Amino acid sequence: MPDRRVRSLRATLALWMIPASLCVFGSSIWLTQNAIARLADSAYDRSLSGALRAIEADLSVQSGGLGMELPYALFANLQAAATGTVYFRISTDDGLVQIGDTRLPDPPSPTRAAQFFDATYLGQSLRVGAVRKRLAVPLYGAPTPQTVLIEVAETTASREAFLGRIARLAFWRDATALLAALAVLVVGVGMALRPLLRLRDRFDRRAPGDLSPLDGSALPAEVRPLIDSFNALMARHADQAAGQKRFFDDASHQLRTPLSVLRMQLDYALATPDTAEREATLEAMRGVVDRTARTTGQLLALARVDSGAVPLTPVDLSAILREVAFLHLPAARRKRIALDLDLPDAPETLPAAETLLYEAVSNLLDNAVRLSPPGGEVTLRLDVRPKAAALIVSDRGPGMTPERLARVGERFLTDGEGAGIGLSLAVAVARMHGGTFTAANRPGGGLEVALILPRPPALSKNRHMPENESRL
Amino acid sequence: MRPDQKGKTVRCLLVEDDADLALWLVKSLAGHGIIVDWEDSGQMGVKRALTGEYDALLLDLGLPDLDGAQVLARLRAGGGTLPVMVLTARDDLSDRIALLHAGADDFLSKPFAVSEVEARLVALVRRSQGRATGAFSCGRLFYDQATRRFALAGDPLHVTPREHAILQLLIQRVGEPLSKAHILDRLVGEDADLQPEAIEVLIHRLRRKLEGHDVRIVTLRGLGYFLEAEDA
Repeated sequence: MPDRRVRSLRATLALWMIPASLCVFGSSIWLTQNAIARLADSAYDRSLSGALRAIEADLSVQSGGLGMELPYALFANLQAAATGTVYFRISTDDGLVQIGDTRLPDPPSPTRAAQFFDATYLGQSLRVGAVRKRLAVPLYGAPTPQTVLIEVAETTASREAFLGRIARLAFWRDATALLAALAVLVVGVGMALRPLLRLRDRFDRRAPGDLSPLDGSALPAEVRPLIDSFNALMARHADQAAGQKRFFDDASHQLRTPLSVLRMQLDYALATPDTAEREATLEAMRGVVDRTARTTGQLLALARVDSGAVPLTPVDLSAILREVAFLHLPAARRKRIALDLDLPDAPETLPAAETLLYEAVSNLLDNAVRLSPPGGEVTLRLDVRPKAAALIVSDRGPGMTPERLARVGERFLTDGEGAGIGLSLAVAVARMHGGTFTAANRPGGGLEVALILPRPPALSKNRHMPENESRL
Repeated sequence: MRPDQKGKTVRCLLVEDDADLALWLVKSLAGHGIIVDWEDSGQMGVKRALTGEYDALLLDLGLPDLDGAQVLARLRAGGGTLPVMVLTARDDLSDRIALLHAGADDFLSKPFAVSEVEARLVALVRRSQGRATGAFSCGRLFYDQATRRFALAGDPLHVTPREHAILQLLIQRVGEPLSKAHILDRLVGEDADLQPEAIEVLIHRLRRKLEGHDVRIVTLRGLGYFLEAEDA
């Protein structure tokens, strides 16, 4: 079975139009033939009926027998018009009188009204007109007046020839019309498809990176929605491409800068004769390397968010927070930071990009631990609200200036402490989940950031009650 | 080379295909008293890890011949019980979880600080040797599983059976928070009427006994209890 979706427009049109046209053509021919045949019959039958009436008017019974005068003039006319032979027969129902071509067949119906029928006589096809008439007086001493049957017949060869001529004419006329219509159709389809072919050429000529919209104003209205969709797609791609370009610009800056710093430090350390100075330089390099490593991880995570095609799978938010807490526990303990984890009793599972969410929260906690004073406290909290779940990291660090808070989420905003990309990542991850990111200074000092994810309506109700896990 | 507290050096096999990284990691860990042999093929790595000469395996995930998961699978299938620390440049969480299930003991993301590798490696080896020899320590607190005795700063530490059970759990997993539920779970077999509140009381008593020494029990809300040495 051919696949309907891959059939060309032309083939589809042909498939519908050709059988339909042939049907119309056939029935038109058939109807024409029928109508012409009926018309011809009635015309021919009228002249037969004229002859019948003339004979009928000339019948006489005055002589005691049946007398008649043949309308020779009429017959001659008839014969001339029909270019065939004319026969006649006059007979009474008792068979006593038989005049003319006595072997002409009887009409099919016993009616007295004039009737016309086809018959065969002496191997020829005939059209026969017949009429019955009751005589005024009985003939030959019969008790009742007889009924006399008058028949006039002519051969149909000329009529058939005429019909054939008409049929051929009709056939050629219809066939010509049909071919003309199909030709017009082919040309019309070609004309209609021309804008599409031109469109195809425009697609073919497009440069690989060309994301500009197509001008659809010269295209047929039917194609316009397609162009609009295409343009919308292009616009999305262009947005993404612009984002990626920005990302690469920023990323090269973020990665090249520390590499140049390292290079300088290295050259300086090798060149300096002072051992203490060299050690101090190497010590400083360690910090730059650590920052670069963190930046690389963040940039990779951001690139993954920007790539847009991250599948969402059901993720247990408590499990993510616990993982992140365990990951940063050694670093927190080195600073004697009390790292608390505050989770609800019920597990909260949302469709999310697990690795990115993990990376985002991990960056937030990393910021909090790095910026907290030694012995400080950092809390990782999951707050499940009716329509959203908030992953909250709070610390007792320096917090942020109002100017800085206003610009949270601007990408690669460097603030000297390296919290910038981590925040951008959190914002990007929140957005890709349809959520939001907030940051605020806490009363009493410190910062509280929240990555807020929307809960799908179906999840707002508790699907299953978990056994209560004992909190410490 | 710095011997650990039992006078034995840690020997470790590194399976890593990047020669630079291997060279510098070997050099750096040698400075921390850890002997590292380098192998750049996964198949050879599995063979050598199964010789029993090594205390731990440092495994890179991006090997050309076998991937990390295959190395782990072959090692564990071959009966290798040595602890495995995975070095990875990937940060896919589900990968990590899958590898933990496959028998990895710890993870470090590249790039890492050598001090971090050393600390985690020593902890891993100590834990696995502790499991093997029954000797555990944290700061100056020691536990000998054979005699079931604790010692603090050289003196015997006297604890009640319940305190003993908890402290034993904690010293077997130094630095790893244990939730109250987890502790209850582990103890309930031996001590059916232990209540969650009782654990808080027992921890409080243990803290008083450890007071003034370089080891303490830390509580983190939501995470649990763990032992921590003062200088860690």
